[in-house]
Formats: sequence, C-alpha cells, structure tokens
Amino acid sequence: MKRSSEVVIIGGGINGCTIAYNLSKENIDVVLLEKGSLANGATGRCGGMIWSNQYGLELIKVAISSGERFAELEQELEAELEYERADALTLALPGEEEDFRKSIDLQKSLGVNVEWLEPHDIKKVTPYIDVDNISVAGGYHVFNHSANASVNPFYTVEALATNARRSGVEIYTYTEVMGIKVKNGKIENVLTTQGEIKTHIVVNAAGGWSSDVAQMPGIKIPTMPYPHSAAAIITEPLEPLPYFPESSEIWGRQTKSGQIIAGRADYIAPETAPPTQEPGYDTEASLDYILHVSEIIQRYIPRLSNVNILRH
Amino acid sequence: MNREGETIVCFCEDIAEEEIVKAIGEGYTTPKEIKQHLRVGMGECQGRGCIPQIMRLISQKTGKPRELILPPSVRPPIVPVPIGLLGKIVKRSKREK
Repeated sequence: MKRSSEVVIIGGGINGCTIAYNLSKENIDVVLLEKGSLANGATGRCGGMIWSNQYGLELIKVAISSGERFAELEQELEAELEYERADALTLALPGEEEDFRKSIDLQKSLGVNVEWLEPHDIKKVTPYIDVDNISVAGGYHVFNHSANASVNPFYTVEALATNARRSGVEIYTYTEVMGIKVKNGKIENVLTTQGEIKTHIVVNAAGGWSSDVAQMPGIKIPTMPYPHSAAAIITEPLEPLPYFPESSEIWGRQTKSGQIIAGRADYIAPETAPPTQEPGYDTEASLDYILHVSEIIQRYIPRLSNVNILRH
Repeated sequence: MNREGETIVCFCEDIAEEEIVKAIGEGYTTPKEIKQHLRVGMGECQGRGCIPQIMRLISQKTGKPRELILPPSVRPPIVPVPIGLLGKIVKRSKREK
C-alpha cells in the first residue's frame, strides 16, 4: 500500500470515483479508500436515473448538467455504461397540480422540453396506466432532453475507477478508515485497516457514512442515512414500455435489459411525506417493502400483475 | 457472447467460467464484485446455481480458503413471485384493518 499521497479520497461510490477520475486528469496524486467493494453504499442501491423532474431550481440545474455530462461519458471513458436518454412521465395526484405547474415552469425556464398532460392525454400516451383508478389529476412528460436519462451505476463507477487507475490513482477496496490524525489544525495522516497514509488533503465522499468520517477530525456535519427510502425492487425482463410512470408514490424505470427497477417515492417530497424510519444503516431487505411497492405497481399498471419480482 | 467449448456457469445471464476466471484475474475477487461486473447471479434464479461455483473458482484462483469467501446478500422474495400476488396481500391486510 502507498504510504503517502497528495489527496486521500474516502468512499468508492459515484462521488469518490468521479472525484478520483477528475483529479487524475489533472495529474494529482490520489489514493481512494473504500471499506467494502466499489458502489457498496447508496450508489449500488440507486435507480440510475438522471432526472429533471424535480421541485427545486438547484436540483433541476444539477439534473441538467449531470445529464449533459453523462451524455459524453461513455465515449470519454471508453466503456458501456448503459446510458440511455429516456422520456419521463410524472403523474400528479389530486392536490398536487399546483406544485407540478411550478415545476414545469421552472424546468421550461431552464430549457427542458416538458409539457403538461391532462388525464385524457395520459390515457392516449399510456393506455396501460389505470388513470381512473388512481384518480390522476394530470401530469407532465419530459421528452427528448439530456436532463432525463438513465445509466448503470455499477458500470459507471467501474469505468471511472478503471480510468482513474490508468492515470495512476491507487484504489484500495476492503480498506476501512479508522481515524484521521490532525496536528495544529492540519491533517497529517489517515489511519486505515491496512496501515497509515500520510496526506494533508482528505476528501470525504463517504455518502451515508460521511458524518462518521467528518467526526474523525472533529467536524460535525448534519448528514444522516435513511436506507429504506431509496430501496427498490427489480422484476424479470419484459417488453419495452413507452413510459414507466412516476408520482409522489412511486418511482421507477425500465433498464436496457428490460427489467423494471421501482421503489416507493416517499423521498421525492420530504416536506409532505417525512421519512417513516429512524436514520440508520440497516439495509436488510424487507418483505413489507416489496408488498407495498407491488401493490402500487399493480394499481398503476394492472397489466404488470403477472410480471415476476426477482429481488428487493 | 459465449463461444464453443466454454463452460456456462450462470445460466440465467449466460456467463461462462472463462469469463469469471478472467474477472478474478483482473482483481474482482469477491462474489459481490464479480456479480456487479458480469451480472452473474442477477437473473431468475438469483445465483442459486452459480454463486457456489463462483465461490469455488475464487478460492481456486486466489488461494483464499473457501470458508472465508462470503456469498452476496440474499434478497427476498428468493424465488420469482408475480407482482399481482404480492400486491394482493397488502390490499387484503388493509381491508382487515
């Protein structure tokens, strides 16, 4: 193991690997530490969606620039990332119309192709959605815009890591950070399960564990992990659906292989639906979660009743 | 994809032993990493057929004792179950309440 480095990045998810890759392009000496395998935390549990369907200006801007970045990434990294532009359909449930109109205006003002759909329009675009049963008040779809796309999170992290390694980044998986030594307000050392690394710059990219890492040199940050709000189910592959609908109840997408990844959307509007769980690290799959997601999918798209769920 | 003479390990995703051995050589040395890299064990059977074989291959190629190689986490519903069947359970329990 390398014993000193200009920069030490803690965390081998999308953030850590992206930072490592970008720093390596600037010829900066980097070591990346990951306590499990790459994409071990939120990255490996995410739906792989780039989304302009957001309610805040900042989030829409992030979606747009991240969409633009991902569009060029396959070529740049010389790797298959299963990148696909995807049109998105988001359904408004009764009472949500006003928020939707606001989001549409925001997205339009930033150049996203988006339009409001009345329930009868939705029926036309997606006859398979049970619009009447779920009392859809309307919705919008985003079409042909790089701010709506999907990508395989594992392939992305792997390609970033491979490219970073090629430019000299050392990546140590299954290497946990045990402490960060500080002297006179300056970082001196990172202590790991594989020994010490001398450095003055640490990048905290530990995601759900970032507050624990920040605590090591005595910094308090207010991040807290809510594992289940981003959990998902995965079905067997099926024929392509033009749209997998989203709403304040559900999110989902169809992967390039035809499988549907879907989950409860209670994280979309946290002010209206606070997380039902205490913060923590318990990522064990729960049967209860699968039952609830199944009930929602069945209610929205009755024709998917016969499709098998493979895993949580 | 697979060529003649290859030994298929993961039938669901059509992955050959040769591909797994190559991945181990490239540094993917846990079942979880190989799964993420090659999609082994992500199909219908969820790795029931291939994961033990992959664990054996890792042990053979890296010299790590078999009992120290952990399988990836097992996630319900274990066998494929239709959405409609699972959804009904929630509806019924709502009615009972």
